[in-house]
Amino acid sequence: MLKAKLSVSEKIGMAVIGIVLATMVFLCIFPFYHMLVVAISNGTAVIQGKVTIWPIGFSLESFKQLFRDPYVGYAYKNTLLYVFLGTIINLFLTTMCAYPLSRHNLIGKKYFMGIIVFTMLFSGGMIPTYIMVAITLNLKNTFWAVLLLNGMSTFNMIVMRTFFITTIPESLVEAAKIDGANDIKIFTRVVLPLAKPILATMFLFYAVAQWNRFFDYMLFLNDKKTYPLQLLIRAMVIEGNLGETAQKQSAANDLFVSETGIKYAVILITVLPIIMLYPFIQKYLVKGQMVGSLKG
Amino acid sequence: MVQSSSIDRKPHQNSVWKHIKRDKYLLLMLILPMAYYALFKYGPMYGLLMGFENYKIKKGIIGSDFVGFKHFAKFLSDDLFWRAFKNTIVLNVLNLIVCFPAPILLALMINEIQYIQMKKFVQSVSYMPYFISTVVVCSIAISFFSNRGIINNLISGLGFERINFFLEARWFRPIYIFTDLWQHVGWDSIIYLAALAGCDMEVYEAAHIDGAGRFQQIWYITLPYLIPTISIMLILAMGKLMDVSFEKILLLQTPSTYEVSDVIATMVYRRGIQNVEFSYSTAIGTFQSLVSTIFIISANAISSKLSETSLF
Amino acid sequence: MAKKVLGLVLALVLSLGSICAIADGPKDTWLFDEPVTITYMRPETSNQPFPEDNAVLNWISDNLGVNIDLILVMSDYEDKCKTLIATGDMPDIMVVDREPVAVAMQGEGQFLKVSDYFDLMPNYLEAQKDNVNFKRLMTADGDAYYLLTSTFFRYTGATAPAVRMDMLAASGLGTPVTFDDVYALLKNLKEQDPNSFPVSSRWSYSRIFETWAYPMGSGFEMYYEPRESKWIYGSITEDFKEIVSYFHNMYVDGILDPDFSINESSNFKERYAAGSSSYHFENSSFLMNYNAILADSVGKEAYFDLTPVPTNKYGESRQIGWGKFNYDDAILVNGDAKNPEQIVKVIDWFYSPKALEITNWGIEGVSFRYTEDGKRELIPEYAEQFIGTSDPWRSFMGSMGLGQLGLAMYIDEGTQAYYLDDVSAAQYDYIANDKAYAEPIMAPAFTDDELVELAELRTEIEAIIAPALEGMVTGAVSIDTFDDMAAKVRNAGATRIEEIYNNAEARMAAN
Repeated sequence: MLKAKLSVSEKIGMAVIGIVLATMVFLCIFPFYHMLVVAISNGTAVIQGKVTIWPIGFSLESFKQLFRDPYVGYAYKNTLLYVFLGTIINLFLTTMCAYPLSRHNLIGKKYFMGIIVFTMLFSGGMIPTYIMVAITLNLKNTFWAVLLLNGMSTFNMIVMRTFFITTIPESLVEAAKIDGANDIKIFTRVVLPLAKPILATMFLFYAVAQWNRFFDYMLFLNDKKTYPLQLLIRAMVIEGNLGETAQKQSAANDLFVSETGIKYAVILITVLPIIMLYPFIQKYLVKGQMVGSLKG
Repeated sequence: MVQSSSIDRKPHQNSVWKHIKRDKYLLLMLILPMAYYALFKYGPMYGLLMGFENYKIKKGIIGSDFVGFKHFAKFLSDDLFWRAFKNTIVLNVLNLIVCFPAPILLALMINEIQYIQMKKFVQSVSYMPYFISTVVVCSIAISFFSNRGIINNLISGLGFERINFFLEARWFRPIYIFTDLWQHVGWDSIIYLAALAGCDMEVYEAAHIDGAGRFQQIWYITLPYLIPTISIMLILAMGKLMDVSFEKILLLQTPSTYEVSDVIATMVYRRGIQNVEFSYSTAIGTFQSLVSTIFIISANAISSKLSETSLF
Repeated sequence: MAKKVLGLVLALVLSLGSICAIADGPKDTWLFDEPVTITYMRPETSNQPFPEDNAVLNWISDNLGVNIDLILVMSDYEDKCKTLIATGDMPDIMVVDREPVAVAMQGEGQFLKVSDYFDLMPNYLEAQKDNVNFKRLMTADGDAYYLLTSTFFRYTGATAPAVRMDMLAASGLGTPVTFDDVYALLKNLKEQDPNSFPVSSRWSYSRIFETWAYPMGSGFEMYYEPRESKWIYGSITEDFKEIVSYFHNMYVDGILDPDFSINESSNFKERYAAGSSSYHFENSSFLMNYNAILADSVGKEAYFDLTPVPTNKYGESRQIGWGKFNYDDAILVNGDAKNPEQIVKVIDWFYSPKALEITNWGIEGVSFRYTEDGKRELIPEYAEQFIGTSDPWRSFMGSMGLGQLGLAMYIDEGTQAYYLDDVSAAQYDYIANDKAYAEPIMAPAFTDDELVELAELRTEIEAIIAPALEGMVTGAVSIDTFDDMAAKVRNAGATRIEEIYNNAEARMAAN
């Protein structure tokens, strides 16, 4: 490991950084740990508010409750399919949009950007959007409605474009041009290889967004077997969503598995798979640094 | 082929064609994304008309009666609206002051960690809260800050009076901002980490050889390198100064904090409980968009003057 | 086990039978000559999920020749409803929240005016004949744009007072008769356990007023006052002021949970189950959960039991009951549907005696059977397989999409008896026999203009009154300002709201 000589002030600085990061790590992990502990603890102890740091009793009943619903299986499968297809569409459209707009002398660039940024500020609203997708394009009850409607995110496109502008010097492009390469060639041979960090980031951003999406699926899909996971579990997570009546009518018997326990089990089960994605793309985000710091 | 990349102030018809021909592949790439915007963003844009009419479902958006600025006049003359307007901006500006620099600092700090495994660990942990939905974040916040929550137990243990965090207006903003920070700081830092990953390492080595200290390296190399990304993020953030997640406010507010917690979104929501007012809410939405447009255009102009980075 | 397999085989044979039946062509029992397909959208709650493809729907398509294309929506249902209505893309039948969706949108002309079809709906009218609010839920012109579910039988809880019996005994005070007795008891409960807050509440500051104000002789916001036979904006009356100081005293004396206005349901229930709250004026169906947990941790002697509704200063013992009917759901028919008569006839079938059986008890021979004296009972082999789940009755109902949270429009919750323990049964009995619990009186029918005006006035008022009331309970706002606040609220529209209500009431009486 690297052992560069540090001055006293730098040592203090590093110590401060260490403390700040350690605190943050604690603040970020603790809630998850707490949820896990509650989810596996005995429901009675949870309801009594005794469970904070150590689990009391042990039961996987909360998790079992969730998987008793046969639709959870379908939902997992659907989510994987939607995330996979959706992310491919997203990456394709975003790259196709971000790269040309990052070239500083593209004709009409200002107009294109203006047209695009306008849509970040103004939107027609849910009613005309629904009419466009479900009625005009006749995409009702198919997941394509949702995937196409969310074909790309302007925010992500701008992030990617900024990356292109800062990391790919115009001179590199000019040089390739002088060598006789056309824009397609430059894009595939020169730009894409340099764009790994941003492609990885975009992959992560889009996959996470696709994973978490529920509202549009709720709106456009009608067949329970095609629902993604988030749609299925959202109602379980939102307490009070059942409203006064359902609360009244959901008579008793919900006891030895606490409401909170099930809620936390649901959250963990839906969140963990997508969190696992990060380590895989992480190497693209630290690679440059690694080389540097090792040589440092 | 390309003689000069200098911009012609007033290109001839001729040279426009020349440029189009020159950029034909780039323009070709843009066709699908632009079709996307045309179909899914501009296609439904006629919905903005609802704000200017008395929208009736049977008559449709095109056929409903036009009432001009009636809905606008209604909320612009409403005291509650202006309170909500002020609260929206104050909350967002405070949020921006705290939550905008934080991910940059975090990215820089993570960047300073020397042990690769540790660095990866901190990174992957820091973005976990992003995955907890707002509803659950608020429910955690409520149980932590409630009268018998962990925080108050600590305060009382230290010999102070317990604080009713949710019933005192002055605590609303800090809690809102803190939970937002906690939820987003790790996630937002990814953008900066990605930018840093593209940074050319040779510069650092050169600096190191020149004897630049760690913090000097951050100040003179890393930060300037991030400036374009920071500028763009800031411009985009300015465009969001009118947006507040009403779900979160609704979950954290009590009537005792209305004076600071009531924002435009919650005001519209409370109206909507009793009534389904498409036109009214569209009008308010349009007004918010107009204000955001002013913010974003100004920010863009300032940024392009100061850092030569601009969105459009 | 063998019986369970037999049951499954039977179910399989039945469902195969249904497929064959369709191939065979129309049956005598079919509602129409040709098979009809109807789209039907309804919410699905996480308490009782059910399959889209279930025995009841199969029975219906087999025996009625009606294929119901079911759309189940799990979350954010209101948004979907509003969008589908606003875009004219409604399914044939949809179940929505009566308020705000059905009431606010009935003037838009998207819903079928079902009252025009009442002559085709004998079963519906029969099922609604005891509903005192039937006319109130039509428009001011006497038209109906939505239908209501009906109740044949239901185990009904209540927002009822209950107290920890061990602590009541230890107090030496008798069961409280008046609200003053209640206060004396609460002080004693606090002394018995100084770290506790005997009373808690949940969701919002308004909840505690909604549950306590009416029994205490006033009412929260607009309510019908039987003493005066008129509608009153309760929250600004002298009687209400006394209630506010009652709560303020509770707050100061450490009786009221300081988190009363921010607790989520789960926090709230934890207080009672953990023994840190001991007086419960809330949903009575929670009590058995507390008791089970208290028995575990404190001991058998620690349990909650219902007490009579205390008498207020007018000598009344009164509370608004949950009611026999369900006023929360509305059943809409698409006004643009090509075949309204058919749809209406199908809906009417759902209120028929046969539907009452099928949609609440399931399939004869599979889930239930008749006893020798002609009563229905669940078949143990089928019913037992749900024992051990977190909510056996709901799991049973969900297996076939039965009951109110399933496909039933005419509700019979007799099946719950199988899963009911003695204590809960006793509680339901207690509430059913307590005359204090009255059927709620719904607001009179308003015109569209009145509805718009009411919504606006309410928004105005809420902004003034909510911070004031919450502040007066905690002491952040002085109770001396109550009269000023009341005057302000009157001017801001409370008087006008009362006027609109009472005019509408008079209009109904005249018709």
